[in-house]
Amino acid sequence: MSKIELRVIQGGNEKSEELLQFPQFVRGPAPENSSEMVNWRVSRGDLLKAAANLRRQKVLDFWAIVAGKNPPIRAFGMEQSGSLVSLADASACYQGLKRPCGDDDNGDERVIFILNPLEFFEYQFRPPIVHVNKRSVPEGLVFAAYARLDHPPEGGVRGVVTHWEFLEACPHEGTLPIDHGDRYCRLLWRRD
Amino acid sequence: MTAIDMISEYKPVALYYDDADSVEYVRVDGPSVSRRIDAFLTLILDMDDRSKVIGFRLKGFRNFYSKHFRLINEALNDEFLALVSVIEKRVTEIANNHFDRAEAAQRLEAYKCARDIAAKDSVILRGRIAA
Repeated sequence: MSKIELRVIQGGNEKSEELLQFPQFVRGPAPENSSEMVNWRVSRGDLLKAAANLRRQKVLDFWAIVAGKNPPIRAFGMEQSGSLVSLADASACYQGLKRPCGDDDNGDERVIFILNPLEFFEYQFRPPIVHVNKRSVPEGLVFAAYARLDHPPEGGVRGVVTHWEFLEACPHEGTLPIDHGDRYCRLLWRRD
Repeated sequence: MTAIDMISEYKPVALYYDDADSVEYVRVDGPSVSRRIDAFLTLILDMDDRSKVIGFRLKGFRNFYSKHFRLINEALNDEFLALVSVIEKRVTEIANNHFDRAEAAQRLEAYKCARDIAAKDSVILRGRIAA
């Protein structure tokens, strides 16, 4: 009986260069005025550290929710989304983490943008296929993107987006995070 | 680094993110939700089953580290830090300083969860934290 040779047809790129070609800036609202759009740098060093340690979900979340673009990757299951949000669509902005952060004793130099994405991209480990799924954000979640302010701001750049995460939503005001009244120092603005 | 490996299996490792000033450890590379416990600890939950804790984040880490560990590490020239010892140091602080016992008990339960993960997975942080 002759042997049947099985070959895997790959679903996409095993190594992606495009996914690490982060934009130099993302557009987002100014902390003092929700209708003024400014540039924010991206914490490239931390993103590369995540990528080097195979935290692919963190990189996909950056593309789909902070930058508001379909992740630049060819993968099995990957469908383009036409309803992504970005930092520019933040529904609220707070200042102050109420905790030490780096050299900042009270996290006062940090601003927090709250976003309400409908869709995101999920990394799935299914070797040997590169699998990325577009999916809906479950109910009861919001997304927070944190930025450190530059002092003084230079050349229209206000600071650097440092990290991001999904949070549980407030049960009474679903576009804001749970305990929003306590977790940050102050609300800078809110879009209704 | 010019390309991200999309095919290799994720191996959990504690990472210090400099700009976020936090140490993060997650068992799974997938969608998650963060639950703030207090100014220092956030638990990371599986997005599709939020009763399942898949990791933790220790925030304001440089500040905490320089207060409690820097001198010891410098003296020993230690380049490894077991996160169990960091979490236990914080638990001692809470137990000693907290006046609201009910609230402390709730927080300590969350700390126990993070501590159990750190102990079971022998989570260590490699390299020094610039203080």
